[in-house]
Amino acid sequence: MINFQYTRATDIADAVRQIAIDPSAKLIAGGTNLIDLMKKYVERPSRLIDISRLPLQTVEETAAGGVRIGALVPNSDLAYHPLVGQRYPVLASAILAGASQQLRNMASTGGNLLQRTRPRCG
Amino acid sequence: MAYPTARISIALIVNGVERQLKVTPWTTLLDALRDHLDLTGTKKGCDHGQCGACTVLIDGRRINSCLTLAVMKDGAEVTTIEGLATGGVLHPLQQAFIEHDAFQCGYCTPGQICSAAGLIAEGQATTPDEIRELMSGNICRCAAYPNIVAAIQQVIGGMP
Repeated sequence: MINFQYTRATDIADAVRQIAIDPSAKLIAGGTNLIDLMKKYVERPSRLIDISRLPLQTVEETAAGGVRIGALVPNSDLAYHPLVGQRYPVLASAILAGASQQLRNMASTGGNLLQRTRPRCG
Repeated sequence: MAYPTARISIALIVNGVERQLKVTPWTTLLDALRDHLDLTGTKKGCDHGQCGACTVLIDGRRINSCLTLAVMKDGAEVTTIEGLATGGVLHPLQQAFIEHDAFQCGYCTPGQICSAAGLIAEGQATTPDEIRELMSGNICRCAAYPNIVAAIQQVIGGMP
């Protein structure tokens, strides 16, 4: 894998500040997409900013009757969350239809939406 | 392009024992276990999160150690195949894999067993179909799948 520097964001503002000043840096959470691409030299960040410990891990009901999902909620936790199971069973099924349980345990909701898809290249 | 990046000191609680190690940021958990801690039970198959041979448990959850950076898991509890037996007694899954002849070459087996331990902890699978679906992240090129499912089902069925 390529060499890179590593820092851990202390809070959300710190993560935003760090990524804003370094265009060649990348945020990392679950890593299932980014590390795979880095091993293929598709992504070559000079620095990874670890946001995996930021407090964005909750799924909560909103006053309007919706559900607010933290960007760092793992795919599996979201699929098995009671609120999602009751109100959005198709979402739960869709999540569980993708990847494997190991990957779903790692992959974050935010990263899932932001992942860089690619053609199969072996 | 090489950076003069200092190694980073981290602590991992591996199979119940705290281990201190210094790793480069790009060292995966898989390589840290195998090359730094000499725990070679965890296998490198595809190295891209597709085969499941590198499956270990982090804080009780199964993950692909090949797609995990060791530095990101500083302080975490890691359980590998070497940590499942207790006091010389095989883990029920290890015993069941032997009884059901659930492997041929054995290369995928540590990942299969760690994955099955995670599956049982999740509590989402009881039927053979559910076991097959939730074990889909572990490939067995010898195709011992029927016996793997039978072994896991036996352990699930034998639980209180």
